Amino acid sequence: MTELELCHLLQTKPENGLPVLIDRYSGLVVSVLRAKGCGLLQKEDLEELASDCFLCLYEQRERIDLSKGSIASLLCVIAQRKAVDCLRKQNRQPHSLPLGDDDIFASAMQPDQTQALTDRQALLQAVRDLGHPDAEIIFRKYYLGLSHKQIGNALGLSENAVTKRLRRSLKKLKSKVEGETFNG
Amino acid sequence: MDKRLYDAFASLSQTELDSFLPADFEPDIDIVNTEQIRRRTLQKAGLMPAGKEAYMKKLHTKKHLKTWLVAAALVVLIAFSAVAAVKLLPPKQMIDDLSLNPSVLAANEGSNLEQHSNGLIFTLEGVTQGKLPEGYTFNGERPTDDDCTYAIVSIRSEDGKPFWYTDDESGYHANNFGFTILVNGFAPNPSMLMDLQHDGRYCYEDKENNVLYWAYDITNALCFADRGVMLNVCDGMCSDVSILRIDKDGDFYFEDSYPGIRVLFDLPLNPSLADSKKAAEWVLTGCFNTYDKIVSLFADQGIDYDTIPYTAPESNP
Repeated sequence: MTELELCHLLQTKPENGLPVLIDRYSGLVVSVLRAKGCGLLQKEDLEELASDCFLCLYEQRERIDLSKGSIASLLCVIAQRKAVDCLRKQNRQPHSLPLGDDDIFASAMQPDQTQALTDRQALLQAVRDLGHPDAEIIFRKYYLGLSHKQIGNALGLSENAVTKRLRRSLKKLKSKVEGETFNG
Repeated sequence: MDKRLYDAFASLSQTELDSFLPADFEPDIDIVNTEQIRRRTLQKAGLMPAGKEAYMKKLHTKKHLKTWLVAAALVVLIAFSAVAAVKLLPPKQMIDDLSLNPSVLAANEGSNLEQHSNGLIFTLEGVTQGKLPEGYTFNGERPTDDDCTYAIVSIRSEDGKPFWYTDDESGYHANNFGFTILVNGFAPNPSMLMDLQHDGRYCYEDKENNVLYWAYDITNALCFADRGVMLNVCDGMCSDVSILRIDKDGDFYFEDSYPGIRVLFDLPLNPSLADSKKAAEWVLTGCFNTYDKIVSLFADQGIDYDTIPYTAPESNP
């Protein structure tokens, strides 16, 4: 089932679409929650938060607009904010994530305004320019917080290969970003 | 650079995420119970299949009331034993009491009416139309309906010993059995289950004889009677592609490495009940995929439908 079909199913037959949504994206949502929870969230927290994420999307299903991004990425954004909210409630300190948006769904549907800094955009573009698999290695390490071994397993690379590629990519990124800053 | 990357990735927007998320992204989630996530979400959304939520509530209540119920039952039993002997339905009568409707049942009464799997015997006792006897409403949240049609399946262990538990001990739980309606020629999927599950499922626990009776509502599937309707019993809530699939000839088969319950009944429905117009509506609006369609849908995601491996559910905490 494509995302378009899933979206249609969620909007026309939500009671059928929800189980499919959960089956397909539980892994992704839990990975993001775990990464953004900085290892501070317990198993029960993760399960509860994951169900909150699916419920959030389910309740706002009429507002899903695939032209603005995929369902997967929307769930990721919802998950990262739910994780931060949970840590905040538990008086713990997460990574430097922006806080305080009550309408998670609305903010998830829009480009992030709070950190729309030029150098951040340039850095993300530089990561994209690294191409496959280096961009994915960076994404898995810095967004999902996976170890080199886990990344290697997922991408069919040895742990050593991941470490080497990462070191080389960081070097490239550094020279590119610093060069642009210097030229700019 | 590390800190800058962590900061840059800390709050990716939806658009930015789309440029980084690989289409075939497969994260590992071995630390959580996916079934639990599904159950909690469906509960919160008010979409819990009938019986399950009510059962959990009932289980909780049972713990507190157990002593009182036992005492009350003893008093009633001693005082009215003669009356009770007449009034209480013995297990066999629980089946006989169902007025099996000849207009629903096909003449040949189906095949493979008794199947063995994982040390248990599953028997398709019959298909009945109309309100169930009172004993069958134990796990049903909603009352059974005159307009509904139910398939009755009994489950017992091969050695005749108790095989399910009503507390938190290990082993089968009375509510551990999943039922999926299948229509010949269409690939099984959870969405189809939600479509076809009309009103719910009801359980009767015959603890005296160690037999579990399940009544499963198949009303919505009657329109496919001429095409062939099957009832799958498995572990958990329902079967999925990693357990049960369809082959290119339209036949169902279990994934080789699936270790759980493998039961597939041919429901003996009278073909004259088929309603081609209604069936066509289901096919058009629901998730009814033929083999070619399901193969192409999975191929779009880079997955070979025929070789999807069995994925074991997370164990309960």
